[in-house]
Amino acid sequence: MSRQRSLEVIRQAEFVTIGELVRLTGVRYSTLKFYTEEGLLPFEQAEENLTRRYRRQTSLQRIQKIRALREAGRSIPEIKALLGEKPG
Amino acid sequence: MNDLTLVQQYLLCAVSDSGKLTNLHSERMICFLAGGLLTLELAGCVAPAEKKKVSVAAPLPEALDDLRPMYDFIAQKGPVKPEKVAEEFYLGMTSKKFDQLFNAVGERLAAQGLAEAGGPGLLGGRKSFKPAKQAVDQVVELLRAELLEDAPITEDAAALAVLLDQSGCIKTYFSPYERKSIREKRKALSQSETGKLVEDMMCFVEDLVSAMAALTVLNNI
Repeated sequence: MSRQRSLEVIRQAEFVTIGELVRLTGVRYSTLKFYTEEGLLPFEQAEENLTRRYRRQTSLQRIQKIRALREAGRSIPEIKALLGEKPG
Repeated sequence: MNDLTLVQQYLLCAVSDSGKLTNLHSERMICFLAGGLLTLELAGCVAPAEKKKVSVAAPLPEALDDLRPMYDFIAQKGPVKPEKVAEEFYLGMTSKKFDQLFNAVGERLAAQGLAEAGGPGLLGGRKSFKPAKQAVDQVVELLRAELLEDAPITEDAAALAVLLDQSGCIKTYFSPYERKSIREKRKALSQSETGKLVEDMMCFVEDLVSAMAALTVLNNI
């Protein structure tokens, strides 16, 4: 059983967990989970481990973009179409 | 939000909306003390000793200076039972020692802008620390992410969940549906090493709450 990583470590990490994304962005867990399930937030998942790992930098940029589009009044289906279903 | 210790996270979640932790909430007070002990243990500053006692294992880092009253008590007494530590801070003639510890942890949060300190009045005593809503949200959301994901949980999240559960605060933040998911996860974990650690923490806090409740009754006779 491991300890929670410090913010300093998280800010340097290549991969982060969804909980760490909550800490970095202040966005609710349920919102990030929804983005993930809608395919808006790409992740990697090793076979032997169920932990979803998100690329920190890409994910932060993606979340920022989604929030900006939401604030501009775009719906989730519109955002999906704009960002494309594939990660990137 | 900066890194918060277990006891700081617990305080944010356990105080009332106005930032108070009154003597009417005995479980919350005892869990605050258990949170202090677990914080020291997670940081390696105190370690289990023989006969279910704890003793000082490393110097107290500056980041945990708000727990100095508790750390100093353990250092001074040598190996000491956790119940004795709780008794010292919870069942004294006055609540001075508890207030001192509570105020120290709260002041740390206030210094970071995560709580608003309120005065204890002319006679001194326990201050209030009105938590910033955003700070509470972030603590709870991080916990939610760890508890409800299909992934291993960290010691920190497990300990906070135990404290919120034993103090009764969990109902404030988690829906019945979420609490059911958490219980199922705990059940699934019970055979693993992680599950055993969580069970140990639960027993530790449960025993502390029971011991203090019994001593409170004896004190009042």
